[in-house]
Amino acid sequence: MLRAATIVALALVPAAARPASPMTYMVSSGPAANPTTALGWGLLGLSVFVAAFIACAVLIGIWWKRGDGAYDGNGWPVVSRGRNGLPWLLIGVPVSVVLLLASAIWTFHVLDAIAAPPKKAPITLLVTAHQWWWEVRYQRTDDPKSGFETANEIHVPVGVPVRLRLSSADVIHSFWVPQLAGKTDAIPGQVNLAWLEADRPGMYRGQCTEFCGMQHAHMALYVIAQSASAFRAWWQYQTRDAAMPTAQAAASGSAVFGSRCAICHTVRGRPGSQGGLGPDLTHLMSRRTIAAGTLPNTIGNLAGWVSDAPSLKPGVAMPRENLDGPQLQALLAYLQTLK
Amino acid sequence: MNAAAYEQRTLPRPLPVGQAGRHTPGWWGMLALIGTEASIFAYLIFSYFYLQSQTSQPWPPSGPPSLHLAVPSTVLLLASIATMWWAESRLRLGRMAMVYTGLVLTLLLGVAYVVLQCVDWHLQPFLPSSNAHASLYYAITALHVLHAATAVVMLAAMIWWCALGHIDAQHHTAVTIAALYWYFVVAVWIAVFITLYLMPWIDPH
Amino acid sequence: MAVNSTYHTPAIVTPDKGLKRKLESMWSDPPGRYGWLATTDHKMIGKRYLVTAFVFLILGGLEALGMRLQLAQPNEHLLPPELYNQFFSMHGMTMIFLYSLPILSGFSNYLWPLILGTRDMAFPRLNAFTYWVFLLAGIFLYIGFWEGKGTDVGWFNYVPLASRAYDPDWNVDIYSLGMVFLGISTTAGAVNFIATMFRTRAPGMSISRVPIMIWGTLVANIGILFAVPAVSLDFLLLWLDRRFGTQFFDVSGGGRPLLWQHLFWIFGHPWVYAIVLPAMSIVSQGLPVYCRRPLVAHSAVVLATILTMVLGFGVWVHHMFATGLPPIAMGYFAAASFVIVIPSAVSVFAWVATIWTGRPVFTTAFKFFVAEIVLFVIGGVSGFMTASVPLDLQLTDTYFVVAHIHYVLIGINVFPVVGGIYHWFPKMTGRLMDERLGRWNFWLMFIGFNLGFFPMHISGLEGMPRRIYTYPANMGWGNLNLITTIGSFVFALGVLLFVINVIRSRSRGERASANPWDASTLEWATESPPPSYNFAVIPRVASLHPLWESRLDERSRSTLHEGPVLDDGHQLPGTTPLDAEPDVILDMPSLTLAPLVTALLIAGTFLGLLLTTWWLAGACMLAMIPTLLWWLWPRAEAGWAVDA
Repeated sequence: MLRAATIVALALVPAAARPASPMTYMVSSGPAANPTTALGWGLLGLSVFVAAFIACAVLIGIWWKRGDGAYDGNGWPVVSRGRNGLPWLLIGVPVSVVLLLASAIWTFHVLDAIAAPPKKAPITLLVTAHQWWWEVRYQRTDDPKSGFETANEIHVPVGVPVRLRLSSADVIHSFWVPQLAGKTDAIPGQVNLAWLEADRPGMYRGQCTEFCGMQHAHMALYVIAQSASAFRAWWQYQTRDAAMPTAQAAASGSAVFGSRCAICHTVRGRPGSQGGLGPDLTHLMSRRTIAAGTLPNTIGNLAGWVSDAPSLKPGVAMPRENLDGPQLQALLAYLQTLK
Repeated sequence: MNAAAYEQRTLPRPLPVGQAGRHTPGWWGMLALIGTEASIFAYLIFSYFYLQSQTSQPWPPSGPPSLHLAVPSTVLLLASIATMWWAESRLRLGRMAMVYTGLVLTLLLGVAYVVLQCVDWHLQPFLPSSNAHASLYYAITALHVLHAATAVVMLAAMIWWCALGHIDAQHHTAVTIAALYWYFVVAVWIAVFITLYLMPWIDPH
Repeated sequence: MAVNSTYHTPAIVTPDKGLKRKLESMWSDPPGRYGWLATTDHKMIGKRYLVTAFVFLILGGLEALGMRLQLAQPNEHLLPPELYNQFFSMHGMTMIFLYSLPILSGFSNYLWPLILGTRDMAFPRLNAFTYWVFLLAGIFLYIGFWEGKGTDVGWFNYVPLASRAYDPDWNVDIYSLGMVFLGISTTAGAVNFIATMFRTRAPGMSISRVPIMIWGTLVANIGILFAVPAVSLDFLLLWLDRRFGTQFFDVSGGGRPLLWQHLFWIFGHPWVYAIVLPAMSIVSQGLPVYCRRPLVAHSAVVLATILTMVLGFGVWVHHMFATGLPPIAMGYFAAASFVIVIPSAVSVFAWVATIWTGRPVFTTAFKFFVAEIVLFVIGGVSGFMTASVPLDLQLTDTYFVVAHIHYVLIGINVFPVVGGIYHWFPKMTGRLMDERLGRWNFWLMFIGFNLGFFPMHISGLEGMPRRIYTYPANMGWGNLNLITTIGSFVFALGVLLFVINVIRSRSRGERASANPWDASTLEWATESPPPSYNFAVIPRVASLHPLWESRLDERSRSTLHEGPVLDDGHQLPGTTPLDAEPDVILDMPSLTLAPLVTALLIAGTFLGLLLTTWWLAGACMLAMIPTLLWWLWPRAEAGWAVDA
């Protein structure tokens, strides 16, 4: 048993000696998650204590040298009634009940704390999950007609609660940004309410956490928390339509876009691009990643994605586009203007 | 310990061999089967009320169902309880002619119920694929008809075995067990009737 | 009670060679194909369940090893997503449905009549039938896999992903119909165990004298009776949606995806107790033998087992905390999920107390039972953490839950099963397993398991989601996954050693006496292996530990070496439910092909439904009527009015 314990501990050393994962929720950055983080550490500590206690009790119990008793003909200890073992239960079970009760009370306290935002949320995000990307519509909470649409990358102002209305266009997904809030499923046919708030600037990664098909593994998102002024500027910027391209390469690229991409993708400001099957691309180049957090938004990745999405993300609805060299160059030039 | 001492302690007495009414494993087996089958209907009825609670549309979408055939079905099945019970009690007394009458009547009532239910399906304004209510309506009633048909086949077997002389006043456990299943089928119908046919009238959604 | 015409007073005798020969000729199966196919001997059926369930364990394990190779490093390309999704779905289905209950059915089928002091289960033909249906349903569930059409949307099969719109091929149809098919075996088995427990115990084995192993299985099977219909219904409704366009789960028609989840987890949570309570009772039964004393607080453990199953029906929503339910509902289910920890604590403390107040003997079986206690507690506390709703909203659907389920499933099912084999192998085969190989077996399994699954707690806390076929390199999950993969192969090596030990010991193991461990319950009063009739004369039981009575200084003594001889046919006594006083002599059916034929007809029906070949399904269903008549045809020995 000691050997086993050593091996396990050694296995954990490399695990312990490295920076925390971007997806860990044992540290958090907002009031929708902070009470849970404390609860998590508390219950984890209690669990480790209980497991260690019982493991020690078992180990000591089997190894402890008992006083010499009688042995039978086979060299085994004789069968006997044994001493009274009830105290183990009479103490152990009530102690367990007390610990469970304390945990339950703490749980309900945290449940109450994270159920609703501390103050009214001025911004509402209508998040519609798709196979395998996130459609996000921004609104001011008191003005549903305001706002704009983006995809996959969410910006929020620091210190301001943001309300989420989650739904799905196809199968059940789950919206999860670990360091900002717990999960809430996005279920077709219903709207689930959630909220989050970032208390410091930063980039927080999220991922879909309800198996949703072939590319469930590649349905990530990023939440970027900015200062109030930076957020306002970003909001203003996102509401603007895309400018018509002037450079010749970009203009011919716009034509390629029209014939190949506009059926599925919207670019506000470009006539004839109202497709709703894929993400809104009006400000594509303002995003840090593409393909729902799968690839960094570089020209090389964009080229690869646009020409053959299924090879990068098998099963995706976006088809392989057989573009020849000039077409691809033109299209990329146009996409680059969608800042 | 010798045989005499054992005998004094345990007092073996004459024990019946084989059939012993409710003391056979078959009785317990049937009770367990009824428990599990009743659960299926309970879960179906749960699904019915769950989907009703989740919709803001009228439920049933086509309005409360007509009772023209459902009420007679209920009456027929309730009557079949009486005939079944009567047949069972005559069997214990060995009045075989009455047993045949009772069993055959019960079987005919069961068949009549199945026929009425099929006609009722035909008259409904919706198909199983029309909407969730319709799907549940057909699933619940079809499953019940399947159970009733099974009970009818069981009864036919009982009648046949009576005719062959395998069932008589001293050997009637099989009929006791089959009767239990019959009562279960009728009891489920009551629950189904109330859920599907009465509740929409009593408590419209 | 009605008057029956045939009465018999059983004679009290001491068994001699003549009696044994007579009983052997009556109860044993003839050699050859017919005997093999038509047997209703619970010992044969039990062994078949054990072997078949083990084959499924190996299949599920290979699927897991494939997954682990794919996940060992970030961005691996070993298994494309279509295949990976089939692997993880088939792995879950195989382990949870085709291994974890059938293996326990194997133990129970073999041991129950022996422990209960009787000669067979209450329904021997139904027993045979449950095995054939299990085998055929298992094959049915796998027929798609070899063609790349194994189910691929997770063993829990959530809609709408599992609906026709998103998974149009055979995969989910095979899974759905196969599960309804398999449910018939599980339910029939439950009926058999319940009737056996209440009607065919040895005289004198009153409720307070029923060994703990019986309680674990009984409680699990009562739960099964009421839980399995929910999942069978769920899958049937899904198949109807897929095949006939019904709208149970389709939002556009008024259906709801969450209905699937409710029905599934109303089944699913009681099911997890059904697959661990019998295994826990294996530990409760076997651990005291190696501690040389009775189990501490036996009655409390029995009540805790019952309470766990009852409460198990009231916690299912804890699998659905993230689905947007009202907080008050979640609060209730969280509270219930905390409460259900308490009866588990009773069992754990009873085991620890038994060790502390006993005098341990370090056999291989003992090691596995002790390991179960430690792994149980680790799995239990991780489960307790997920009972806390807000914390669960972070933990759910991450590898933390994967760690939890494997600690409870492997820790509370696999380890006691392997320990149970070491414990009862001598009884079943007449030979002891090799203890030296057993040491290697144990340590490889224990170390491999912890190396493999403990890191999952950490990768889960670090946010690694479940059911992903790969992960990026900069998440910090790579090393943990590599360690897990290595550990899982070490564990597999341990399992391989176990299989080798079983095979070798069958032919070369040291010969075992009737009671090599000096244990206390009735199965150890028979030879190793037991004769076909189990007991030559019916025992009379006077305490919970019939073979330890003199050592425990019990006030009354069981009578094992003389008793009623029931040799007029294939007979055993039926006894009253609470006090176990004999009240009828039952004549058990013996060889018949009816169960196999019925199982084949049911398989034909499901095949017809799958292929939408309606005439095949209909013909097989109708053919069941004459088959069941054949099965149930009146027999003179069973007390029908038949001219013999």
